[in-house]
Amino acid sequence: MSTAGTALEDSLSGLGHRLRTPLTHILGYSGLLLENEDVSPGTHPELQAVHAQASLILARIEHWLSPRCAGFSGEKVAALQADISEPLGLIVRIAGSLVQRLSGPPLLDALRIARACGELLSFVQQETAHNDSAAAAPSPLPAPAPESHTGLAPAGVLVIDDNPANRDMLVRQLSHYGHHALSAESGPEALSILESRGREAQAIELVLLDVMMPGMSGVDVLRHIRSMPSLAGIPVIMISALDEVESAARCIELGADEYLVKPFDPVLLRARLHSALERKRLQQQQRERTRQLEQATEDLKRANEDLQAFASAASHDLQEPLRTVSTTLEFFNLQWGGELTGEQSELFRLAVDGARRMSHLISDLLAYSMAGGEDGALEPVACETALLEALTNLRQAIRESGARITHADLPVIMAKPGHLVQLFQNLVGNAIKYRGEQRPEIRIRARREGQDWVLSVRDNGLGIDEKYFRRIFQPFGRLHGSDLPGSGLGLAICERIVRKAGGRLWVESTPGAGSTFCFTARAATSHAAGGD
Amino acid sequence: MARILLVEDNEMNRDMLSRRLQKRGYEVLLANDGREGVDSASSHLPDLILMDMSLPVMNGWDATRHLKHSPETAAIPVIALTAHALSGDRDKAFEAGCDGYETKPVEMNRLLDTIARLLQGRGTP
Repeated sequence: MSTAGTALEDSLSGLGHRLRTPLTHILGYSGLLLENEDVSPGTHPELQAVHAQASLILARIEHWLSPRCAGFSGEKVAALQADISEPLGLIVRIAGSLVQRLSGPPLLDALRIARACGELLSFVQQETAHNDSAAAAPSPLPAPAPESHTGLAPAGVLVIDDNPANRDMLVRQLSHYGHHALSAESGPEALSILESRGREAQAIELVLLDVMMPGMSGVDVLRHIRSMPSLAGIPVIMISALDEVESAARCIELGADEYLVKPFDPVLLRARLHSALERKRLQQQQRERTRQLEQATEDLKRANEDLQAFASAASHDLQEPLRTVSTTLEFFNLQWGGELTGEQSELFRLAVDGARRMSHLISDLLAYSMAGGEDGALEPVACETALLEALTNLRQAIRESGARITHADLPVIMAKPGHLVQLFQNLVGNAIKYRGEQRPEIRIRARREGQDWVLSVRDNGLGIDEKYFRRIFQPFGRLHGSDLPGSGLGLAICERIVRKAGGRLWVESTPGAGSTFCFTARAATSHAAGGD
Repeated sequence: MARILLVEDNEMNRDMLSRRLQKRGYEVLLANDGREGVDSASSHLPDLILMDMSLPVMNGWDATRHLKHSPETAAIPVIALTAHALSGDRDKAFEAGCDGYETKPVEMNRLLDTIARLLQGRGTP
């Protein structure tokens, strides 16, 4: 046990510091409880006893760990343990009873005393384990909770420590918690184990690494582990005999997950171990979920593109034979139109009309699939220009219906130029198509709303019942039969165009009192056009 | 009532000591490390400083030296708190400019006496 002895000697002054800290807490918090008016005076004798026993422990620590006290470090530590276990036991009993009786803030203070006792207790128990030979009875470990309670599966853990007693103790402790523990006595041995085990099924999932080792130090091993791609993300807990802030900070900087100071509390070791393992598993889960999500997004995108391509190809291919039908009908009409009887002429008119409607339907389908196409960049488009182009396309319907179309000053918005023309054309076209008894009056306006413009197309037509407000925007969601021809795609196209540009399309209407279709669009940043 | 700046990195020590001082009516300012301690002392100019010696970022000796070299904080009494009961620490603390010295765990009555004595020297209750 000479190696353990040397390690103890090295850390003797540090040990004093570590033991004084929990004692400070016991003394301080028992003092605070004594001063607290909310604590019944009945507990004062117990609190005074805690205070007295803690002072006694302190005196014994000062005695045994003083540089003036002669003797071998290991023996002094053993003597100290024997010396303080009785007063400590008394404090533990009182603290336990106080925790049961107190409540509110005083309970918190009692718990702090209990926690400090735990730290001292683990010193008494752990150092005894150091002094046991490796072959001796198992060290006094706290009864572990069954693994099923923690929800953590056993993990492969590699212990790297040059001190055989420490190594043995850690391996035993880890096995006790149900983990598969392996050990290495030097950096190079550890790295070779890690390299070979990285490829096996029972991989190492966590590393416990001693900072101070001869030859290759723990810090060097840590740096090596962090540079190995096959070990990316493996949690490393550093263990050190010295409570050195700088060393701890350095290890954390180099990528260590935790830093534990020897002699450590078995409960603390277990908690750190499990939190590091759980963190690693959560990270893995997170990575797996992110991957799945990316895959799903990618699949969805591809399916959408396929559908888009299918729709546009189908529209093109449908137009082709239809054009043959229309051309043939036209030729037939030129050649034999004059010879047809009234009934024949009526049948012929139905065929021509069918072909025309079919053609409209196909071009609308094409427009609909194009409106959902790739998100090309939006550009500033003057609404007025787009509207005028749409009105030009609608000139025949306007002339026939005698519609009066007026518009206010219209802004420049972010859109695709062709799409905006289509949008106005469909909305104004609908306003004309679904007109009432009187002459169509259509007004287009714009109003500013924050970063957006709200454009509206108001008519004095038939109007729409509120219960159809959703249905009209769905593909083929027509409300009318063949009395008013249409593909049933007009508003679906509009909705797609507006949505693709980041806006919203909706309708406000009362049956018999006309409709107003509104859509929002981003204002063009470089222009400032006036509103209504 | 006097304002005391407590520079201490251990959370429990900070909690415990500040509560005990507040109970005696002192106003307590807190800092977690030496650098924070120096910054807080310069901006709040407390009446007295309780300085743990083993602090992260900047240790208590350096922080005290810093305060004692700066004209606006030089007159603020500093009581060193140390976990080391070695006499070398005591000399080192006084060398750095500390006005008082207490070992941890703090003996509360003695600490309160020291605080009162040093504050009286400054004319603050």
